[in-house]
Amino acid sequence: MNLMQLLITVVTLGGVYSLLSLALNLQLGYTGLINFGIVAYFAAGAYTYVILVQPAPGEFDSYVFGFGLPVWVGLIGAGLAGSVFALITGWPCLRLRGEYLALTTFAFAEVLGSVITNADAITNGTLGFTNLPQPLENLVAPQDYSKLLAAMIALIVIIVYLVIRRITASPYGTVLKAVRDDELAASLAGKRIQRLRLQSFVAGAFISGIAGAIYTWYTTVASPGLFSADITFTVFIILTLGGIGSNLGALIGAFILIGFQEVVRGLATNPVVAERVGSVVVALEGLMFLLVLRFFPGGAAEALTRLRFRLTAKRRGRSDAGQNPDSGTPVLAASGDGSVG
Amino acid sequence: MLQYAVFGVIDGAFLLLATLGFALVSRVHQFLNIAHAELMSISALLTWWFSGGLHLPIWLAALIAIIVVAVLGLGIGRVVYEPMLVRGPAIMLIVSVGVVYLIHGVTEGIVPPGIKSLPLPDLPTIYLGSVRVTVYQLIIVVIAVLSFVGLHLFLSRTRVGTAVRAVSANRELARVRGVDVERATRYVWLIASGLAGLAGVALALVSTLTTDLAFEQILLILSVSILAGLGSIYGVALSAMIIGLTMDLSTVLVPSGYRTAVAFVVIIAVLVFRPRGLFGRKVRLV
Repeated sequence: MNLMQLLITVVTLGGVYSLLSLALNLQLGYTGLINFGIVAYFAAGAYTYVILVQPAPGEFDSYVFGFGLPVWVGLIGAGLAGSVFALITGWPCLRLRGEYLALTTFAFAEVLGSVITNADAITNGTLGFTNLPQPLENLVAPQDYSKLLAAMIALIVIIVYLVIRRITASPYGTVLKAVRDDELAASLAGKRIQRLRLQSFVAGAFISGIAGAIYTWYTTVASPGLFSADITFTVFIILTLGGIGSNLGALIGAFILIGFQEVVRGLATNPVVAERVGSVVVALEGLMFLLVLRFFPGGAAEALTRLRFRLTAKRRGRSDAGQNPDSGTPVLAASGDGSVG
Repeated sequence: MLQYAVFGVIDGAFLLLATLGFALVSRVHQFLNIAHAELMSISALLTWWFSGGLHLPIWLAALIAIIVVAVLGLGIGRVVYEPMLVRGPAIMLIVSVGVVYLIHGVTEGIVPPGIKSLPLPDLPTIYLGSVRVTVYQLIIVVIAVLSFVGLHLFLSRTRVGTAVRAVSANRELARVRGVDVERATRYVWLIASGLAGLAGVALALVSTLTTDLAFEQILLILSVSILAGLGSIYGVALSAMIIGLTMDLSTVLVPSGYRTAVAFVVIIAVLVFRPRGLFGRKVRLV
């Protein structure tokens, strides 16, 4: 397998997933909202983008809407679609605590999934949309397009990362963390808990919606099969590997996991082996995930913090380099408080 | 119409069976074990392999499968779940997703692809007026009712059952008062996983098997237990019937593709008005 090709795929697909894990980190890591329906906002964004950008239907198509709008309108529309769906679902969900929230978001994702599968007029049913146009595809030769796509996605990821880092490092980010860690204290300090939770939820969904639109650039297809609960679970694995509560961790986790998947797939050139590789990858991911959760709850972000601590300690010539820094990522200590006792 | 209602009751009975073990774990350990349905699929596939591949009689195959799954469930509970319980229900939910991946990957890697079904003898279909049911469907209803009554008797009439209730009410207090927590939770894992095994066998009786069947089931199990209120075991019976009937009766009105979606819409509607489900316990502030 070509190393360049591997790199391009990891940047492209890893970029899409890192947008999702950044969004989840805003919701789960900063605000303590267990969103188990990530794929819903992702799918809402993807389909909205396609419907906005897709040319009007021809005589053999069963879908009704196609507006042929420019790409940037589609992108914004995708983000808005994610947000609107988050507003609708957030209203009944966000009053709920812990697992109840997890399960209602999960349920909403499944409802949206069956709507997408069954509402032929809007989504073209199980067939979905194929041969989707890719942005700027006339700019370069077809064989070079994957590089351009990777570069565009990398750029978007960097922008989103910087914006989120700006938000979470601001006083507003601190307020969100207060909501996560001690709701009662935050509300006594005059913070409007429900509103903050909804804002964080909707902002995360906006990013997920954009990620959905970008995903269709990569797949050139939008069909119900692409948007299963596996996406949600993958994002949870990514964020755990990277470290819940760390934006940089969300990025690192995405590239580690997607890189791992692509490398294993690349190694399996033998068709008999390739048939089984998918399930081996799934089992290994599960194992890796459990081990990290059990023995290294801070994920890659904590590993980085420790490494940095050691390096700076060495530079200063201190002898306490081996000691644990206390800057580990907070791991949702408080999110269980409000659940069923 | 009546036929759909009967199908609804049968589906409800199956959901009851599938959810009982799940509800027991969520009551005692206070987390949602998404991997519960994976145990169902292991038991269904083992029954298929023992009876079809090793030519054991079907009841023996089912029995061995259930025992294997019960022991496996105990092992996973002790090794994976219990050391992490202190981290709270949110992390436990995520942990159980990891278990799902592990089990799913392993079963999919081992089990040959293709459609599998148990080598069952053809039993006659019973007609009651215009309604028809198969013997296998009746068996499921009977198993579900027996399991429910059995679990009730275990929890209310035995010493271990009392210990289990004590542990689920307050683990530390139970320990301080001399309850053998280890023993009680051992029974919980064995019974909950055994019930998952039984549900897997029941599923194998009426449908063809794939490695993906667990996932379709967990969604319904989750909705039944949310509707009942997490931690409620008796509420499960009523909720299972409500969900079963809603799903099957809804096919009269809306396309059957929306069958599960209808169940979820009901759940969401209930949660808006009763955020802790129909029979959910009041939250205990720690």
